[in-house]
Amino acid sequence: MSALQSLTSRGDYTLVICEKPDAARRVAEALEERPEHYKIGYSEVFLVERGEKRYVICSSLGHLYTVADLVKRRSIYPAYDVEWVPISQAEKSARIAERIRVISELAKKANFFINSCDFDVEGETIGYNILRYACGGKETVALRAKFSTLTAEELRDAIAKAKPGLGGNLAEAGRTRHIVDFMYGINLSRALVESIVSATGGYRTMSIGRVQGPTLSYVVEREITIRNFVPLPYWSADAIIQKDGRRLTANYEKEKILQLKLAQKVIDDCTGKDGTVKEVKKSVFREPPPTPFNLGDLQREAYRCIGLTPSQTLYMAERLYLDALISYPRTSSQKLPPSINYKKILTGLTAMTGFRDHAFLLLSGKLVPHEGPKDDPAHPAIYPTGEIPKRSLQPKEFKLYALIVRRFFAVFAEDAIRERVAAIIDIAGHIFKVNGRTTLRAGWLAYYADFISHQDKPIPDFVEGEKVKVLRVKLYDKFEQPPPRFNQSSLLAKMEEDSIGTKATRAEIIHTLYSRGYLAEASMSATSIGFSVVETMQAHSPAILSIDMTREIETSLERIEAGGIDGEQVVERVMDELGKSLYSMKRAEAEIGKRLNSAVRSVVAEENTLGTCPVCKEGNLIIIRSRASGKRFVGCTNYAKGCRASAPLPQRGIIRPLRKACKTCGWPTISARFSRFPMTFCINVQCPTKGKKWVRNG
Amino acid sequence: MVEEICRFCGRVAIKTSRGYSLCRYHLLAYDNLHSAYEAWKERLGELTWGNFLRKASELPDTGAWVKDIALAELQKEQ
Repeated sequence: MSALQSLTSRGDYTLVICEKPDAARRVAEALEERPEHYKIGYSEVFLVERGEKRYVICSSLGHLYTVADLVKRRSIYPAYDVEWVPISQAEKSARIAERIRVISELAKKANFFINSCDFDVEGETIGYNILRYACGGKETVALRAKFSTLTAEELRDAIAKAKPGLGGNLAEAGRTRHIVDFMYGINLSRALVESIVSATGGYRTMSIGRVQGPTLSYVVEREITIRNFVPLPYWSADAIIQKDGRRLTANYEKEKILQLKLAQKVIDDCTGKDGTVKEVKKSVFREPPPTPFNLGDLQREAYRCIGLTPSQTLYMAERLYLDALISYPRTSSQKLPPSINYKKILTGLTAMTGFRDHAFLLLSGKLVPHEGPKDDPAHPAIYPTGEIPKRSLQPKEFKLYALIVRRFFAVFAEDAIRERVAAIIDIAGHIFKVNGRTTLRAGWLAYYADFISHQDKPIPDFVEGEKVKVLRVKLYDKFEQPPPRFNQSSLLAKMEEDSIGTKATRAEIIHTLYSRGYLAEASMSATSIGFSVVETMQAHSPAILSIDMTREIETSLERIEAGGIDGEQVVERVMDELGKSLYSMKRAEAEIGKRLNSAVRSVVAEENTLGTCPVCKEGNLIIIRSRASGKRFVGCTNYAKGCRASAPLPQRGIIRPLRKACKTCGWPTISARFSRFPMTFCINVQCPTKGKKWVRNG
Repeated sequence: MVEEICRFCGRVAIKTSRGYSLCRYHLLAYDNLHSAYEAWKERLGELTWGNFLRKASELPDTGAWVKDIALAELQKEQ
């Protein structure tokens, strides 16, 4: 008898569907300490007998179904006839196909169903599709379990209290979002790809979509501003004064002096003169604690403090969630309701040496979190569960966990109280200021000290009317700066501010823009391909770049969630809009293709150039693919003139030049991405660093 | 009809200024450079067009498209 037959032959049961295998294990272990475990091919299934009830717990692997067009030819657009199909059909995945088969078999003998996927739009969509397609139309009769952490207590409670209708119209909104995004993405992307095919006969993966469009447009617009920027000159001045044996800098009252003659006059007037303390201003101010993390806040803070990209943060946070160490991370909320049991969490954290003292300190007082304004009906803000890690966390993973714990501490702590002191000094009728700052009460800063710098700058006591010795006065030539380029953190913040994409997809969208070659470098610059795509869209489908359109769709999706409209109305409107754009693109196909192709060629040439050759100092080291073997390696462009500099390359993974020379040997360094975390190394096989292992960035 | 292309980047030119065919980006750079010259004169006092171009083209924060125009203008000056 197979494992599946032995499972299903034991009588009636409730089939519990979880979003991921780890979540299924957590649910099973929450219901019974040692659940019966069955391995059916790639799938793990658990059987739990709890009183009179029997539960069979299985899991998805994220989405098992996707939207696909009925016409299977990639070159045909517009594609409006869509259907939900197993991902295994669209992407040829045996694992997914088998998982669907197992769930379908388990569903045949089940008499009740519980959707136990994560409680949000995506989780609801995943569960709905499985219940509808794999379980044979059980989406309307299934119960819904609602939870925010994978702790045993909450899971037991969620399964016990599962009831129908909890998800409301979340699945309808989720499914509509997938269809709308598919229609925009597949049609406009095909139009771009086909334009290249028609102009050159060659193929290049291109994409643009409802969220990619405005996001790319932000970067391109910023790039235009930077490339057209002319710095204007201005001047600043400061004086070095002596007080109680200390040298202190006093800044001129105006940060920017906009005319050279005025700046020069300040210097001329003040040189050789002493100053008089005109006034001493003191002000005490409170710095309130930060608010609890939602996903966007966490991604920004992790980028600032740990250097993790938003997609790395999301990936690690999900692992911490699946280990039941933190609550569900895909949340917009900045609120921590008392129902999460602050005391229990802090008590749990006292078991960890690094957190013990601060946890005890907070437990001795009243616990009121300093919450932010944002709310999420499905989940509270991100918080540690208080459980102890059962596996050893990777260094960066631990830092992320510590950041979440420290932030949780900080939101319960007191305001910091600080004092600002400014001594106003008159030198020959010109005003200069010596600024100081001291912390009177550290408050939350003490709990969050690892992730924030709040250095004090105390200054001596000045008295009004006191004479001060001026050692020198100096003028500085300065120029205005262009606005900074976006980085992954600031772009994410901009997307969030403009409500572009969802908390779950923003990081992935940025990742896609990089992988398509639209963006380059850590401080983002738009490449020629990025520019060409935006220019093409501006000419033929300007709406796809506009935040107004995507906002309008988001509003419609919210109305679906609230039961105000149905999904079909939204899809019909999208089809109307798309039709006009696609017609315009089809007519200009050859011209669009020519421009895109020229942009692609220039970017590819740039991506393949690693830097100046350290041997001949004239040529460039470039990535070459051997015609004979098909293998890639590095060679010098001066080969014909006799330079034989070369280096082997890994034959797998995506290689990017780092534009930095190796500190040891001066050869170029590259990053090779085989997984989510790239490796960086020097390409020179004879580099003395070669004895050491490659550095894994993650 | 043959489209005029930008002398600096090969995009479609939208205007010809002082003998250059310029795309919309380089046209903006051209306008910015000229208005910046007025602002520089106001801030610095005396300043020749040539000296302004030399200084502006050497600054690291001057935009790439502005530098294209500044260098072409400098060549004209010489």
